[in-house]
Amino acid sequence: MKNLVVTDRDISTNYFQNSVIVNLNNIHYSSCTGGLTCLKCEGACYFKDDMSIISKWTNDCQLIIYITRVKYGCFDIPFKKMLERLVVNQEPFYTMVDGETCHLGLSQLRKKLLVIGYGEATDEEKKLFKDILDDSTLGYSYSSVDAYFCEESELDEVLRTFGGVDLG
Amino acid sequence: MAKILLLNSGLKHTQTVMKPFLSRLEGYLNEHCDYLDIRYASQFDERTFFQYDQVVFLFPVALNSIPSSTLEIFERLEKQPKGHVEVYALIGCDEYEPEKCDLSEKIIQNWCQREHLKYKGSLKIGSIFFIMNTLSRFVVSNEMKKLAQAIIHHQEFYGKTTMLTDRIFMKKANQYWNKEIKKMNKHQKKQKH
Repeated sequence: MKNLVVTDRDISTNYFQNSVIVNLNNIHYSSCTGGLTCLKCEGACYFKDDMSIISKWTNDCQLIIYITRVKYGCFDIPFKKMLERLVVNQEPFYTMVDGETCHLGLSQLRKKLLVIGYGEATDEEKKLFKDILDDSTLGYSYSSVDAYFCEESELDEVLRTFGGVDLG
Repeated sequence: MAKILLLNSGLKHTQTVMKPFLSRLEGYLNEHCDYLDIRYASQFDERTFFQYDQVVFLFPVALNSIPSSTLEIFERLEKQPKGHVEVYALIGCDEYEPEKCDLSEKIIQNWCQREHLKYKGSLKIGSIFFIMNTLSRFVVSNEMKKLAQAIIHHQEFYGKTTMLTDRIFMKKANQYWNKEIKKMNKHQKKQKH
């Protein structure tokens, strides 16, 4: 299984040759309605669109790279919409992890998550973004969660640096 | 006396989850304001936002942070000429700990700071799927009254509430999901026949 790169802007395919690159501008996906029917139907989402495959990939691959604009200290709207659709990868029931209640992820495969956030973000917003990442990965089997921030103009340079990280 | 907007800004179907909270807040505020308006994310008109004196955002968190539907509202408001609005939030999460709403609140605070709006506080509620079906609803109602009073008097308010203990939560919560799954299975069987 190849690794997965999800991006909200065009990037060169040369940087991540061992990955499937998903550009959110080129796929069709509906916004999650939050009805949680998927949790009641063993992970079957009401919408049959490109997210059906992407949510399976996120379960099965060992490295996920997100490239997103940071806005208000959070994922930008198209990315947030995509992430909201990944609720299908959760168990409905609650479990205690480190004294906190949470939903466990369906996939038990250990994986790594690297998030490259670009755009103008203050230190406070970067911290907020990292906290969101930490919270949203609770219950999932990530062996490492890393976030790296840069200006939009530096993104190509940063991607060049991280290029090849998916080769193992 | 003021013009108040209650804005149910969560994802489409989570607006039903927030309805009992919204109705109560509406009840507590109704007699004490000139004009009380209730809007859903889909009916929201950014051109009228700054005509209100106070706005209360109501939403449940989506994947541990603010729902995209609320972010969209923020984005639409960025382009509008600004006015003096006091912003409150009623944030819910399905987990036991109301602290899971903290990050969403920080995002709203951050947005208010950028847009030069006055952020006046929040009520964070845990276990929102079933808390209103348990005795804890009285505690929730009390907290909501306090929030309403703070809104009426233009005061700051920071409150949080949830089920009595995490043990009760775990029992109730997993019962809730078992019921929901059974309901869904029945519904699907009926549809097949």
